[in-house]
Amino acid sequence: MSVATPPPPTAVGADLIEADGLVKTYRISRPPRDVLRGISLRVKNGEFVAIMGASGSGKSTLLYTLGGLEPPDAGTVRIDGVDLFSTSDSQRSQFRRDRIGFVFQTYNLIPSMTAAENVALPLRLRNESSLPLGGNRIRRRDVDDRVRAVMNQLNLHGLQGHGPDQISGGEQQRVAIARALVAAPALLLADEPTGNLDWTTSHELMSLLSRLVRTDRQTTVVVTHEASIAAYAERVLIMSDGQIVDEVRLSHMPATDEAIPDPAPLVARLRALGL
Amino acid sequence: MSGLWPLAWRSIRSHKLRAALTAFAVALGIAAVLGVQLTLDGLNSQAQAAQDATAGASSLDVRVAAGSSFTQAQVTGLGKLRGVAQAVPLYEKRVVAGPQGSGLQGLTVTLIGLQDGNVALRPVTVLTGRLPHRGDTANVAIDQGLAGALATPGSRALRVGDKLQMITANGPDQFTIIGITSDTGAGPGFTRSAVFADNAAMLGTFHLGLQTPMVALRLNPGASSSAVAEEVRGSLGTSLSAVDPRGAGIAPLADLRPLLVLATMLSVFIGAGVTANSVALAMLERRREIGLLRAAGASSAQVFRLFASEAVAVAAVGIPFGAGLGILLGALLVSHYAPSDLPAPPFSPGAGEILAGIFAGFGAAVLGAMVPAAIAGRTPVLDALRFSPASERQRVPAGLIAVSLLSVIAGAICFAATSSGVVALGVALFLLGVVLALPYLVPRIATLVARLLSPLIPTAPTAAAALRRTPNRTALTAAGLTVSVATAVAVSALVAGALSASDSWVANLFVGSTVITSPVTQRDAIATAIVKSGTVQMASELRIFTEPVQGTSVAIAAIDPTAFNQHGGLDVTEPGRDAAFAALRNGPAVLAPQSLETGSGWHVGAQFPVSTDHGVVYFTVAGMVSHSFPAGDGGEALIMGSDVARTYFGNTADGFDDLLVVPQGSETSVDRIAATYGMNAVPVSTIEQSARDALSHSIGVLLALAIVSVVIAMLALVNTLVVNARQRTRELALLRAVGFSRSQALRLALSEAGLLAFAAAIIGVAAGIVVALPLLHASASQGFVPQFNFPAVIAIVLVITIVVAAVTAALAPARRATSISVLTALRQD
Ligand SMILES: Nc1ncnc2c1ncn2[C@@H]1O[C@H](COP(=O)(O)OP(=O)(O)OP(=O)(O)O)[C@@H](O)[C@H]1O
Ligand SMILES: [Mg+2]
Repeated sequence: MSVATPPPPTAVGADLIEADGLVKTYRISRPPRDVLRGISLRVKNGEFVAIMGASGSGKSTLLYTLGGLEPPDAGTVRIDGVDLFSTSDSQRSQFRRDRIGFVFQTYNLIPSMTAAENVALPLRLRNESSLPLGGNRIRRRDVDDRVRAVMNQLNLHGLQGHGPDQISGGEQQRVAIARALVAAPALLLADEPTGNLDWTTSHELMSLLSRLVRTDRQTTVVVTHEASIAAYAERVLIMSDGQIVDEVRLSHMPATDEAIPDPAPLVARLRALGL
Repeated sequence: MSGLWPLAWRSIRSHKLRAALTAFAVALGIAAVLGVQLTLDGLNSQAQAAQDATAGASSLDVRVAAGSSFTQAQVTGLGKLRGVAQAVPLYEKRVVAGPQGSGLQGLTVTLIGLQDGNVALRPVTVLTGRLPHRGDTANVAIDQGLAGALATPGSRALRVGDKLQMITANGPDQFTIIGITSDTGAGPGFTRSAVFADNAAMLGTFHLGLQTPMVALRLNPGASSSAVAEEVRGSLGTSLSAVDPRGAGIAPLADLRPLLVLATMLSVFIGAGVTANSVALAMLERRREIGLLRAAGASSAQVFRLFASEAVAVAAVGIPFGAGLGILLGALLVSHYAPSDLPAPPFSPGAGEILAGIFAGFGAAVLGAMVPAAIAGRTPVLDALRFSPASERQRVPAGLIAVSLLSVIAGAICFAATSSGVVALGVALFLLGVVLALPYLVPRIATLVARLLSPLIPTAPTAAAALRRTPNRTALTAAGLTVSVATAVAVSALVAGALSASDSWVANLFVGSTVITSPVTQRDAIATAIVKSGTVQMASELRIFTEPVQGTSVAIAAIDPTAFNQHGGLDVTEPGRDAAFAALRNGPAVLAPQSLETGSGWHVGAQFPVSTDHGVVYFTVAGMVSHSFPAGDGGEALIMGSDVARTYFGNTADGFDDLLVVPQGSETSVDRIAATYGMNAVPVSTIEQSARDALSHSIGVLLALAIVSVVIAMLALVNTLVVNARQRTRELALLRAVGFSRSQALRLALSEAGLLAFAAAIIGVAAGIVVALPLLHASASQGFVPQFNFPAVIAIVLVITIVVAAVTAALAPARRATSISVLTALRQD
């Protein structure tokens, strides 16, 4: 890709995420709520990881901490060797803009922008930024080319001019993924990306993600509470009460795109844990 | 802004009403600054022009004591002083004048010499005809007022071409009137009863008894008038006065200026508050957007710029409207305040002033927007992402109440000061304290009121609870309203206090109930004739003239002490009335107005030398009056017995300018007898009314500014109410799902608007009362003590108007919020 060229990729198999001793306590409620209690984890470059757990177990908090949105009370997060929380807020913003893509459960899109404009947002932010670290400006035509390429890749062809309220929920989520990917980030983080979608659409979306991982070696972390969704990942971390209590490796066949992975082994493991 | 500008632009487009109201608020702020600024400038240049007209080319007026006169040698000597370019003597003579064929009857008029069409270097304004040329000894010009006064009973006023008879060295002599002059043109030294003749006639025909009371000096460029004045005293002695006629710079609306500035600043601040509020609302509605932008890598500076640029764009729209409105306002006010007898100055707003007004109004608005924009930029990303309006619950910043209390206390301490600047600072601090306390006050007062209203409006307590959940937004919305209502109430109290103080001034001044005023000084015989005509029960002469006293010219009112002692008039504060008036009868004594007591240290028992027809005489201050008759320069006159005045000042003190009478029978018969002598009968009540009018006229602009502030503040209220209604849509739908009727839901939304407006307004009324007291105190002067009157009418009208306006403004958005189907509303976030 000629635009938004990422730094030389970390070798496949090296650790992209290194999180150590993450602690987060919310003091608003009484007694204070320990949401993350000393979590450490590694995610390898090109890996597809799912985080599962009951509601309130701290999945979203962990994901936002890994993405540099929420500073932990203690512990460190390194992405590609950069210690996120030792940098300034604006440097962290810039890192997010260029190296991390986020997808949320709902309302991912800015309502006053068209689908294409939503997708182009990180590139536009980069052009608009006055920070000297922003690197070269990207020419408008290159932005358009890149947006078109990503949208085509996600089967969003023809929806460029539509507003968020003019496209379906599944399409909205794919637009959100396109936006997350447009700057060719090192890491894609998704919080319940299928939470508001029906079964068929959910699986279309997940197979899209796993294809990205397979073909582009796109490192991806997905938070979900559904085993059938987590089953698409290569590795599943199971959270309970602010801690990672188990880890399941799933082996996939050299699968075709349409294959729906079998959640049975995962379900069995969860049941064994009493979750 | 290549990346985010479309976002800002679309947000403006999708909130057209809010953008329009905000731009309007900015426009009003700019208009207020510009309008007041242009008005003051316009009035200043007008005053300047008026002063230039009265001073003419004279830089120094040298006068001698009453009765004495400069000699020709002295005039020549003055012309040779260092720094003096020209010394022009004023020739003056009192003569009896009448229309042709009036025998030796007539009025005492002042004959004044012209040199090249000027009087003592001042141009004379000619209404019709022209002035006598140099060397002309046959023609004269007369004053407009005199032309009327000289008319024989029942005939028309004298005109150009008529003959005028005056007593000269050769007995009665005829002159042709070739011009009518305007009484304002010839400056302060010249009486209203002037006849203008060329100096050739003065030095020839009228040379007997000719006086030279004054010499006007034109100075060389660069010469200082005070240095020349020093030289004049050095060469001619200290008994003369040398005064720079331009020295007494009177600034129009001078007393009001600090208050005007304060009120203007308030409207600018409130305009800034509207912008701040509107950015805060935009930020609230787009919290999720902020979160998404930040997650996608926008820096907090970028988010700040997004909101700031939106505010700047909206505020910029207000600029042309504000500038136009301000220029219009300035033009209107200048023509409104310009004295009708002065030529209207050309109204020419300078580019600098317009830029300054725009800079102030627009700059304040942009600064106001920066605060919420910065908060938007610094919102924690997760808070923004997780935010849902339905569950919004604001917390009041800790320590706010302490800052608020400190500010209120500091303000209260400043109230005790005597300097009006410090009191103004105190007012600002106090209001700031009140504004900072609003997050606590408004929800509490709303709750209290809601509880009282709950039997009538059952939804009120629920509405108050909604206000309690968002105290910060509620306070930001209420702030402008509270401050502007406080200003309006305080100004009204000030107006009411000043009006009643001015009433008591005029009411206690005159003896009798009608004043017969004359354009010329009338002879005593006319007073006797009026008394004998049987139209009046009592008549008392009043003569006002000026005399140099200790180097300055002082107005003296000669009255009949016996009449005042018997029939009232003049409010003697010390010693008793009897003692004070007795002293005036018995010798060289005066009563002084209290305004002189503070100003110049006059007090009972003080003595001061005055040069009179009988040499230097020491006059004693025998008593003080709260107010005396107005002197021409805006000050008040010293009071002297008329017999005493005649003894010491000769025929200067003869006759009368005003006759104070009690009518016998109908007022019209007094009118008729007054008209017979070319005079006017004016009831004292009319004088009172015109004094009131003049006062309310000038304070009116303050009240108008306060009302403008209220209007600006209402714009913020409307913006907030629209957002509140939208935000409550889901909550209202939930209530309807559990059985609320649509009209109940509507009433809930409306009572929230009404409660917010009422609480803001009522706090404003209370703050206004508190602020009015020190302001009244600061505006008091000796003898002018405005009392506090609660401006109940204004307060009630304001509160009702604001509440009704708020409920009306909330009606449309509340309807929309309650008419949408429950299902749709619940599906919305
Ligand atoms: N900003 C916050 N302030 C206080 N408490 C919070 C905040 N954010 C999250 N929490 C609490 O932390 C806990 C973990 O929240 P988190 O969103 O990480 O859970 P989750 O595992 O993602 O749950 P779900 O599956 O329901 O999304 C919850 O109990 C939540 O109430
Ligand atoms: Mg979650």
